[in-house]
Amino acid sequence: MISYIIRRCLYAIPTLIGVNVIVFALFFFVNSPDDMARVHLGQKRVTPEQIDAWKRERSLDLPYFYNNGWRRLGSLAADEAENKAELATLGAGTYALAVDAPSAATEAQSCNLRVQCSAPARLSLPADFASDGTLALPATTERRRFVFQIGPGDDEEPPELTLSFALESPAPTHRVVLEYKGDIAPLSRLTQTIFYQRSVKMLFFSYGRSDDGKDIGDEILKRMWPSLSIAVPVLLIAMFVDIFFAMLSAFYRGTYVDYWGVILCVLLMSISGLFYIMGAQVLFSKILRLVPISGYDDGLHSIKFIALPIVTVIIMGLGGSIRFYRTVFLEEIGKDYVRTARAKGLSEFSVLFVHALKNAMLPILTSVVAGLPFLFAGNLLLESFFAIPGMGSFTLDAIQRQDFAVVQAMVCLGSFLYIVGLVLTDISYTLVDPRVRLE
Amino acid sequence: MGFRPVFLWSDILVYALMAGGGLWLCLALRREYWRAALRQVAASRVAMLSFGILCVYASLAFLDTLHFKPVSPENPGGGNITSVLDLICDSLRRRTETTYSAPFATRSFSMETIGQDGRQVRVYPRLKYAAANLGDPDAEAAADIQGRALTGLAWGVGVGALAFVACGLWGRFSRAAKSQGYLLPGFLTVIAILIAEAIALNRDGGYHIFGTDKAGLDVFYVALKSVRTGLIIGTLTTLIVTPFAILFGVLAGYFGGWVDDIIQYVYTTLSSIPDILLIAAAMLIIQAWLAGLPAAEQETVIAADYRLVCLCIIMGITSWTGLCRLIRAEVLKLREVEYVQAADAFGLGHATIMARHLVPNVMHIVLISVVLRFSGLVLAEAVLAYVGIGVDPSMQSWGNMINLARLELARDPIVWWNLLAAFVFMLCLVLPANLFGDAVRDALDPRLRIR
Repeated sequence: MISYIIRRCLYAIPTLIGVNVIVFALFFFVNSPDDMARVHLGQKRVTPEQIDAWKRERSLDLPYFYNNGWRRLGSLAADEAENKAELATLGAGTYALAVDAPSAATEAQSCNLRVQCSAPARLSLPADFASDGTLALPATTERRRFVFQIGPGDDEEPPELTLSFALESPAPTHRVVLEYKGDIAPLSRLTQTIFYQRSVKMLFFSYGRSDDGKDIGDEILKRMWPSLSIAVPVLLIAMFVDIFFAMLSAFYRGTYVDYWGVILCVLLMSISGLFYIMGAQVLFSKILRLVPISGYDDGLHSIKFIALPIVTVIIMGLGGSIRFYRTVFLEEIGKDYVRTARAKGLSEFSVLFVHALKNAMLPILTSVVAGLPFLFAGNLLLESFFAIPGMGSFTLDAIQRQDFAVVQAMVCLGSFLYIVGLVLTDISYTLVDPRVRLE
Repeated sequence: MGFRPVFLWSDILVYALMAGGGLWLCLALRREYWRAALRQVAASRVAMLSFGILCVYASLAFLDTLHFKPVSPENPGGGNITSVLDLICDSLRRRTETTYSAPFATRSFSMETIGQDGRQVRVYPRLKYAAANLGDPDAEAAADIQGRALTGLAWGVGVGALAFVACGLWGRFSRAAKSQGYLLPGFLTVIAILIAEAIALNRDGGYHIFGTDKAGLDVFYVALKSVRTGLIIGTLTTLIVTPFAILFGVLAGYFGGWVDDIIQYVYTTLSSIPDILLIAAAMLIIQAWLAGLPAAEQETVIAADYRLVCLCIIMGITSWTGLCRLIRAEVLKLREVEYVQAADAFGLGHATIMARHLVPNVMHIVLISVVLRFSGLVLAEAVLAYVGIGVDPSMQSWGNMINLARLELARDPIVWWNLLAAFVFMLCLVLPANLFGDAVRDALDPRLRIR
């Protein structure tokens, strides 16, 4: 048994890794961090400097998979006819100047670049440059990069570079970036990357920070409890209510009670959950004034806040669950052992509630077990309507604020919970049903 | 004044869907298995009634799919993209009040300060279009509404009577028509009454039967326009990805081994990402992509249409895994059946066996899942709109209606008619769809048929 459980858990690992890779591709490849910054900053004209700052804030300026040590020191945008800037260096070492390709939307332009150093003797530019440090670049939309050295010398006051950059028709999308190749430990070459920081770490439940600077892991631990305080009562009460009505329907199968009961279930299923929530709020809070319309409190005081959400969720799920349980019961009633029980002369009541119910609980229990992990995940709509500070409203807020870090964390957590649910279902099957053999 | 037809992406997909559906129906009806299932569905009154209502919705959506640009000599490039439904409801579209007004109201919902006899008074101003032909709306409106309702009823009953006569005559010659009894003419009468009432109540200087929304737009018109959005999401979503589900399901079930392992791995991985979060993540990305589109395609209608199609594709990606799993399980069983073994023994290739012997025999699963998923998708659209990742806010949809109305629930008195309209229209689509789906499942699921 234990070896089966261990094997089953190991099988889940490739799936978890797959989810992580999909999420990573979705968040960082289909959409580059630059695109994300543009959506997030939300303005029509976003300067490259703003994007750089946004990326640095979230450490999204790292390379994707392999960090070769290059990092950005400064940049110069071509927003005027003749641009000039003094950029501090870090002393002796290898540097690179990258002329950033303008995006496809702007036209390619030829430009003049000039590099001067406060310690000219230490600067050794590549051969493309003229002796006075100028370079005329032909028009192209490709990114061009020139590596050069600053030789050893007195680094008490590191030499400064003076960059000048001229364009015919200035556009801030054209710019020159100064990069420095620093020393980097072999391990950091892999860990100082977006993939490690934003994807591998999620496998170990380290979720980083949200856009407003809060630790996502702490936030999850805090918001789990309000979600659970609704989900657990719902699970228990709903199971009893659903089973009761489903048994009733099965008991009267083939009669008008059953027929109209099923129609009523379909009707309940056909109404959007939004209407249940809004209807409950208007009826019980606004008109009857029984409970507060929304909010949350800690401890016992929370009952008046969570009573209405609990009732609402139970009613929302009623139609679908009763119908599902009813089919389970009817399938069970058609089996041979039920006929035997009837043939023994048992009453219909005891056939149903003693013999059939026990066996019908198998599929019901396993479906409940599969849903157990999701109790933590909360209900998006409900929590936001009733202003309950749980996981659901956390996720919804993140989606609406376009907080990519939180959405990504919730996707990873959600799929982890789903996989845990699958594993639990398999295990509970083998525990409850002796006919299921372990491979 | 002429017009130039416009084909949006979703329009093309709708036409493709209709052509594909028609072709499939023609092929399927040549086989007794499908004809028997069809007869069983046709024998159920609930199913036929539901089918009738779905047909009404489908024709509304189809009228709204025929898009064109009006072209006039002054404006050779064409005006705004319009649909045939817009043309039919032109009077509804034009009668835009300034703000909220209740159903059948003659006065605005909110007070305004106006100058009267040199004094400032706060009154509920009269609506610009509703009951414009009445002198004293407060006194005359009730009688006017009654009169219009009776006129509509008379017309509807008249047309309905014609339907009864026509069906009666038809029943004399066709046994199939007779077996339906009064269902068809009765249904036609109800539809005729509804249409006649809608026309009578809205016609020259009529009322806003579902009130107006915040921008003063007639809610009835918005709800009618939303029909297309709802139906497109309900149908295209499953149909865009169904071919992939069939392909992968059949491949996995037929070949087994490493093919099966890979396909199973892919769908387990995909289905373990929570649907709503995957949709949210993808929609955030699509928003960034749409923002970067060239200006020519930024026209609201076209951009909104792109977003609708993208939404369909993403919702499809989250929903094909279940179908794929069912098909795989069925093919695993079919692979061992004699006729497939015989086909193999005859030396038929893998492709032929799959296309000729396996795919046709899993089609009932496909049909059941498409029909049963429809209502869930229509309901999901409303939730997505609430989360802010649904169709474009400029596109009319029930989700957007609910989303806008939600903010008004805090008002006193409550602005309830937006919600009512969305509720009625959604319920009248989803309930028949559920009932019809159950009938189709009962007719096609062999497990149920044995009983």
